[in-house]
Amino acid sequence: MRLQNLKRAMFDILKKTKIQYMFVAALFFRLLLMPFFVHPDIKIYHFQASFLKHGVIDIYSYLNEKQEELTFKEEFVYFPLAYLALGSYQIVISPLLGNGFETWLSDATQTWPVDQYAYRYLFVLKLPYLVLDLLLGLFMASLVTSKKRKEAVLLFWFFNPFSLLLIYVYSNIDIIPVFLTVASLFTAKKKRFTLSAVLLGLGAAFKAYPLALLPFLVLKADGFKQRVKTALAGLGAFLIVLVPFWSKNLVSDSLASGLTTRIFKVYISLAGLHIPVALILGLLFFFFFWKNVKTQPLYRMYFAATLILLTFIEFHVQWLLWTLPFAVLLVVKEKRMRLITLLIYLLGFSIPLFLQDKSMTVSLFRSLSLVFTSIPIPFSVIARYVDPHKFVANFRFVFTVVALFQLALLTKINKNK
Amino acid sequence: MIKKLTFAYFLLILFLPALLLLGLKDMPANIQPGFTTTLKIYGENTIEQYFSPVSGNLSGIGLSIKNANLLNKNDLILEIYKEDLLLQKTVVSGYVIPDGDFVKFRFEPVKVVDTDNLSFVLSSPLSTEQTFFETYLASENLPGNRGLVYAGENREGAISYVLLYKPHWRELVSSVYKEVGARLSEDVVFSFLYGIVLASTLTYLFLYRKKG
Repeated sequence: MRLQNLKRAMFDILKKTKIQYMFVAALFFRLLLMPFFVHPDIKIYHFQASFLKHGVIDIYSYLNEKQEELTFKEEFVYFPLAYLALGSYQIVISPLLGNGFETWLSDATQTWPVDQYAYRYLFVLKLPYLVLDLLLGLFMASLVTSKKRKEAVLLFWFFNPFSLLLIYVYSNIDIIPVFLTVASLFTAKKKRFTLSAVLLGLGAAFKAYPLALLPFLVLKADGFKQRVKTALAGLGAFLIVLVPFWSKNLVSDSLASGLTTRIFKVYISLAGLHIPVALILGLLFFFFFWKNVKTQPLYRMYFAATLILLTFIEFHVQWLLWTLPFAVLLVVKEKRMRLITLLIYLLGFSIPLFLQDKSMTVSLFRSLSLVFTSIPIPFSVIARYVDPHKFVANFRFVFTVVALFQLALLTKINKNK
Repeated sequence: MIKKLTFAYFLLILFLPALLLLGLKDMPANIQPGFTTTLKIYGENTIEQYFSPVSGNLSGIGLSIKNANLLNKNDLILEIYKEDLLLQKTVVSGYVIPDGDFVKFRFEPVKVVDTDNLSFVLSSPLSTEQTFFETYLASENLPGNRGLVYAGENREGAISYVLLYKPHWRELVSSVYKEVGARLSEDVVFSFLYGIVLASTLTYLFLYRKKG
């Protein structure tokens, strides 16, 4: 696939006036959000990534060695490509941000969100997310054929409140692997399975979850030889990035960290073996899609795989972004899925709002003023009436039930094409 | 539809912070200072903290309280005095004080001015040498600190407390938006470029509004 073809596929739709208007409107309220809302994670992982410009390559070992001296003691939990990408971006932008930027990154006091230049820093740090987010919309629109569906995809992607919150308010790095998984879908549609697998492997070099999509991509490849090639390309791309960084610190802080292995925590015991429930469900879906590989589109498979990952675990809110592009394609192509998908997202988003964590709610506004940190969080309001932990557990249970129901719906062949 | 959605998002982004501020019951007048050692509160071991307030409607005092192993179920009492006149009294049960928790002693707002000589007294008459509450001494001096008396004896420094005020919503909202404006005006280069980009998108949306 030539770059020109890709450019044409993505940007030609911008010539249509209504889509152009939609694009600018989406840009407008994204610009409004970028500098004024903040989650502390963006500062912490950029603080860690700032060591690349000082020549630190093995960030995992470095942070462990220097833990006592650093203002933030956290380990680097992401995979190496996240460090390289964020660190490289900082090398480019640091001269534009001035000397105070590094001081701000290492500032662990309560007043960092109201620093004189905080708006500038937050805006620039979120700029790559804006580019990826807008490109992602165009990418997804190019995955459907009719004008009406293209408009619907853009409407659902650009104007849904979930992606806005996840990308510009919670601001985690997930948009990068999400972009790569959608790029994988795009290239797979063009029958470029090896490239598609490489994109998944690169996505996994940021965060592990795109590896869970690889078996489904392999199913879609034609013939045994192509399937082996696809599997090897995906794993190869992942390992090529990972191996140079291999150390016991990488294993403990990232590869085998509580975040990466959380999916294995819910299991059933069988003959002394702990078998993760998500793995069982994943295998069931793998065999289902294998049987119906000709009738099942890849976006359904990717949606199922990402939803399975979230169904049984205490997920972080930003992980909901993993499913979102596939959910958009699903609801555009299958109207009957709209209500239940909306329900999944409403439930998924409600859970973190009720956690005992200010940074998930009122503190997101503290870049406007520190007074927002004094507003009572939903957790303490609920605690006056019911046990808040039980309340959240019930929400999680309902989420799991609804997610399982939607997964069951996915096993029905889509006749609404 | 797109026009309506864009307008709805615009309003939401603009006014959601103001709506959220309605949930603010009290506003701290200072950031709580760091800690050094603790003072035990039981029986006649009371703490008297003398201070000058910030003018406004004083509605509470926040303190970090230790209640080791949640042993103490007795009441912890806070009384506010102006000179020798009792202004307010509030009681918090040991049942709801987890160890090391920041406890807000709330009371009906009292109008105070910065020239007032106020004090608050922390006591727990039913607590004993075995079951007691503790609060922390501040690692730095607090603005408005006018002296500390512990168990009837003068002490150096102050305890680590936060004065809480009942906010006036309109003033609060206006002060937040002014704060944002002030910080944008401090970073002229960013604000200028950001303003141009924002104004360009807005102009486009306005000029081509029929497309939406």
